[in-house]
Formats: sequence, structure tokens, C-alpha cells
Amino acid sequence: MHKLIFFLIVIVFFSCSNHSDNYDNTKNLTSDTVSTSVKYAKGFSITYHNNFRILKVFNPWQGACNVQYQYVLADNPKKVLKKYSKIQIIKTPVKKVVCLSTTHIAFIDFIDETNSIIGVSNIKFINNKNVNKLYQKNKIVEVGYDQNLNYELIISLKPDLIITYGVDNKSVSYINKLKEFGIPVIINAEYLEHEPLAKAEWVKFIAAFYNKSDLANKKFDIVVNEYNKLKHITDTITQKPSVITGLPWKDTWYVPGGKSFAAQFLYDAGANYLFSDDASRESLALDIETVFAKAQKADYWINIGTANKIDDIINVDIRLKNFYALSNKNVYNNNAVFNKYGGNDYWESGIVNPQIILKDLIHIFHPDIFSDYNLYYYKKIY
Amino acid sequence: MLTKKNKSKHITFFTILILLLIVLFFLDLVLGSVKIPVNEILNILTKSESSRQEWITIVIDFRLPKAITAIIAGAALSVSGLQMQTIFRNPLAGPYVLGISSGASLGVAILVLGFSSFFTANQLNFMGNWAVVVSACIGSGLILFLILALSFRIKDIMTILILGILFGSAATAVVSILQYFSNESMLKAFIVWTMGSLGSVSRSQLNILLPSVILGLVISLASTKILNAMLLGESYAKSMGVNIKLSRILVFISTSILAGTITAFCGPIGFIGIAVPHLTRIIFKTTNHNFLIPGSILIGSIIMLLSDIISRMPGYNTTLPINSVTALLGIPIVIFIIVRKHKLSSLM
Repeated sequence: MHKLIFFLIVIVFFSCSNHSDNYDNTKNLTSDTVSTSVKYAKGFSITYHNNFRILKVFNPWQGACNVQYQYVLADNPKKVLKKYSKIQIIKTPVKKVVCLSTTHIAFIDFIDETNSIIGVSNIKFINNKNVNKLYQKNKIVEVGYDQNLNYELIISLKPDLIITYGVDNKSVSYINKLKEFGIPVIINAEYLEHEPLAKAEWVKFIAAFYNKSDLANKKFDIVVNEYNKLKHITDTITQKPSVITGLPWKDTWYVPGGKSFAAQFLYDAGANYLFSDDASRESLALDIETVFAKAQKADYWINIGTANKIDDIINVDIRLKNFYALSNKNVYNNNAVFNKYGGNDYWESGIVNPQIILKDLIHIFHPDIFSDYNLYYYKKIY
Repeated sequence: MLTKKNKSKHITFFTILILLLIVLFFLDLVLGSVKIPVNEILNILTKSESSRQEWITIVIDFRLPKAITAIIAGAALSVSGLQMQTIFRNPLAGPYVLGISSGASLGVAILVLGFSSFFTANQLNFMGNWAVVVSACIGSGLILFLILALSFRIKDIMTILILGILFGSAATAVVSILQYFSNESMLKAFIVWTMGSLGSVSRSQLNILLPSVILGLVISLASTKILNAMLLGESYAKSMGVNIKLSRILVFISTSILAGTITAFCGPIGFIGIAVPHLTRIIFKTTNHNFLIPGSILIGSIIMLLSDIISRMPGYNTTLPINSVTALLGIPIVIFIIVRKHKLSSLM
């Protein structure tokens, strides 16, 4: 049995107010290293050394403070400098991968490597055609989720890599357990990013494990160009319609914070988000009354869970029929693309297609800009 | 026997409580996350006019049903708690000792967690309240049926109390299993239900809630004589010509209607049912149910309105779960009861 030294969590002793913002991605660089351009994402960094690369992930779950994971990626683990040998070493390129989130599948698809996937969390949530095909052929299995992971199955799969995500401190326990079994496990934390392009940029993180950074960089630049081009179109727009998102749950209505990822899409699409003066990046739990007072007259209502028709919304709470957007039929939901179980592709491939989501939104809020465009992720609700 | 002095004292108490209820009811309509001037609220209530359209909706569709639900829930839980304390002659009994809330939780858990592979938390939201209400009713009804069936056979009231607790624990154990195997979003949906909510009762649901609670209260008021006789012990009651088994069942039915419907519509709301009857006894200094029942109705409604106002955290944009507020208000009262138990026992 070969012995591997798996992990090192470096705890840096300075206070951090917000996720990863205090990390300086360029420090610790020595003469033999080159840092790649990670432009938007704040949660990871890549540094190139002669025979290996070091990936760092910063504060990979909500509320994490000064938590850092490091991974050494090397085609030949023996060539890793001794001073880094205490860090978890992952042999690249990886060939057999288990991914525990649908977004990971989108990243892997982005670099055309879905054939490497051998295990997923829940096939019902997955839209990717190739992954579904491989599942039909029994080449992909379901391995469970979070605390309910099927460890024995995972061990028997002998994966080169497990891509997981952190929810909170408790995630560490199952991550450590997997490491105990000698399975390389990494945390992908794209969901904590606050900008659409930053989320998409995590494709560079995944690509590094496949030695496909060049392809990822090239394709990502295309996405960035397209996104920014669309964003500039709305720069000059002065008529910005007001927008409300989501649905209430009992007395509470969770809305995206004014500096959140979802809000950023709305700003970039030339909309007036009703909670834009709020400074938080996470969602806000507001009293239903507050949202009602502010949003009853909103022009548009979008992202309404799994609603397919207006009646679905009224069933939640009959009082919602008083919203102007509802009577003006300006209700759009992001669930146009889904699989037979209802798994929504917006949360899967949408992660690497922020330019399509943005175009959808611009078309919803400013229908005269692209006259013959058909919505992709979004659909109008009647 | 009531002296004249006592009688006038009680009338004063009732007048004060009714005035307090009216004031708090109005305050409940005025205070909230959204600031609406008092004169606007008066306009909305009297003429349904307001300078801003959304204020009408907020007052009429949000705050009014919520305030009415608070009054109904407070009254129902307090009276059912009072009945249970009298029947079981136990100062710590409450509306849920028969296992009603555990039964309701089981019903909801089976719906929310047991079938979670068939739909998502979101779809559950779309089913609206009715699915939850119906499953809570089925769950508590099942427990009630078991208790009633046993009440025909078992003489000793303490045995029934223990059985109620056992049934409740069994239901809770099944709920734990369901929780263990369910996913995060469904778990959250269920936990939020257990925290209670007054605001999700719609006006059409009030049409069912209100008559059921009134029915329960009428049965309760009709059984004051039985309850008063029970205070002196079952053998004494029997000697007074009270049919023990039948009366027990009558009281159980009214308790189940009261606590069961509230739990179904608002979730299990704790502490009101235990604390309010004691508060009523302390205020009225009597054990006569002719006063305790109307007193509990008033004090229960007042405390529930107060809890609702606090839970809405006027001035802030968020709400607290109603259960946390009733617990924080109720716990000091329960502690007070335990510390001074000897005195209260003499009242029971």
C-alpha cells in the first residue's frame, strides 16, 4: 500500500471579513513560478512551477474564515519539489472522475471531458446528454450525496479525483473521510462567487486537472468577450424596468442581496433591481409584507422556482395575484430547459453560459434590442 | 360561593382584558415591517381607501387575517391547555399531552419528507397549505382515535396521560427516521413548519379555522360543570352524577378540535397552552371554569397578539418564527409555576 500525504489546511492568522477578499493571490511567488491570469474569480489561484502546478482554494464555504486548501498537480508526482511534498498531490491528467455537483459536469463538458465521469450524485438533476447516455450504459453510477455518500461504492470505483463542494464546516468531515480512503478529493467553490463571469471562470480550475488549461482559457475568453459585448449594449439604456425575483416561503421571502450574483445579472441586463441599495452578497430573508410593499408595482417578475404557469404562483399564496407583473403577464422563469425528472439546466450548463443567460435577460427586459431572438434558459409564464 | 365583591372584581378584570385585546388587535394591524400611518389604517379599515394601493393589500390581506388567526390560535390553545390541566390534574399538562402535535408532525413529516422523492420543496410550496393542513389533520386524528379507543377501556386517567406521551414519542421517533433520510431543502421545509406561522393562513382558510375553533370552544363552555366537578377528583365527580368516561371523551374531542386545527393551520405553537391557564388562575384567583375558560380565551388571545407583534419585529424587514417568541414569553411563566408549584397546586 503506497503512502500518500494528503492535505494541508493552512490557517492564516489574520481576520477576514468577507470570503476570500483578503487573500492576495500573487504572494508566495518565487522565481520558478508563474501565476496564471485568474481575472474574475476570487476563490482560487493557479501558480505554475517547472514540473508541477499549485492550486489554492480560499474559504470554500459560506462563512469560512481563513480556510485554504492547496493541491499540487503533477504529471509525475516524483518531480514535485520536496518543500511542497506535504501538500496533497494529484496526478494529472485525471481519467476517472466523480463529481458531486451538476455544475462540475458543466465545467467538464466545457472542456469536452464528460467521458471521464464515472460517478455522479444524482442523475435526476443532470441534463448533460452524454452523461445521461453513459449512465444508461452503466458507465456512470450514482454515489449519493453529502453525509449519505456511499463510501464503499466510491472506493470500488477507484477514481483519480472526486470533485466536491463545501456547504459548511461539516463538509470537512466527509472530505477527510474520503482522504482517509486514499482518494484525491478537491473542493470546487464556484457557487460562492458573486459575479457571473467569476463563476464561469472556475472552469480554469477544473481544466487544470485535465491538463487542458489552454483550451479552457481560450473558450473562457470567448465567453467573456460575448458577455461584455452584451453588457455594453445596456450601458446606454436609460429606461430600466423594475424587477422582483423568487417566491415567498410562509411569511418570509428570500430575495438576492443587492451585491449578489443574481443581482449582478439584472444590473448587467439593464434592469432596475428593487433591492439594489442593499449591500449584502447573500440572500436576504425579508418579511413578505416588506417585499409586497416594494415589489407590488414591479414591471417584471423572474426566477420563480419551478413554476410553469401563473396558477402555480397563486397556489403558493393567493395574495400574490395582486402583483402588477402578474396581471401584466410579465412573468418569466429560468426553467425552460429541463430533463425528464425536472432537473433544471439553468443551474447546470448555465454556469458556463453566462452570456446566454444575459442575452435572455436583456431580451426579456428590452424586447426591441434583438428582434428575432428566442429565449434559451428562460420562458414566459402564462 | 362567589361574593359580590369577587364578582365585581371579575367584571373589572374582564373589562380590562377586553380593552387590552382591542388595543393589541389594533396595534397588530398598525405595527409591521412596512410603516403605514395610523390614519391610513383607519381609512383602510372603515372606507377601504388609501393613498397607496399596496397598503390596502397589506392591511386587508396580510395583517388582518394574521391578527384574527393570532386571536383564534391564542384562545384555542389556552382553552385546550386548561382542559388538559384540569382533566389530568397536572399543572404541566398542555394541549399537546395527548400527542396531538406529534401526530400532526408525523402527518406533515410523511407528506414533506416521506414523499420527498416524488416532488421538490418548490413543488411542495405550489401545493399550497392545503396538503399540509390535511396531512396534519390525518396525523393528529389518528392519535386522537387511539386515545379515544383506549379511554373506553382504561379507567385510570394517569395511564391515559402516559399513553399519550408514549404515542407522542413513537410518532416523534418515526419523524426522526424520516428526517434522517431526507434531503436538505425538504428538511428545511419541515423544520420551518415546526416553527409555526400565523401569516400563511389565507382568508379562505379562516373560513374553516374559525368555525372549527368556535365549535371546540362551545363544547368546552358546555362542559364547565364537568370540569369543575373533575377538579375535586373523579370519585367526587362520579358522586355528583358525572359520567366520567363520557365527559373525558367530550373534553378530549374539544381539545383535539381546538389544538388539532390550530396545529394543522399554524404548526405546533408551544407554551401558550401551558402558560396561559396558569396566568389566568393567578389573575382571577379562582378555579371556577365559568371564569377560567373566558379568561383563558382573552388572555391567550392577548398573549398571542403580543407574540405576533414581537415576531414581526416592527421597524425591521424580517420576521421571527412565532414559536420562538411564544417560548421566550412562555418559559418565564412556566419557570415561575415550577418554582411556586405548591401554591399553584392548591389552586388546581
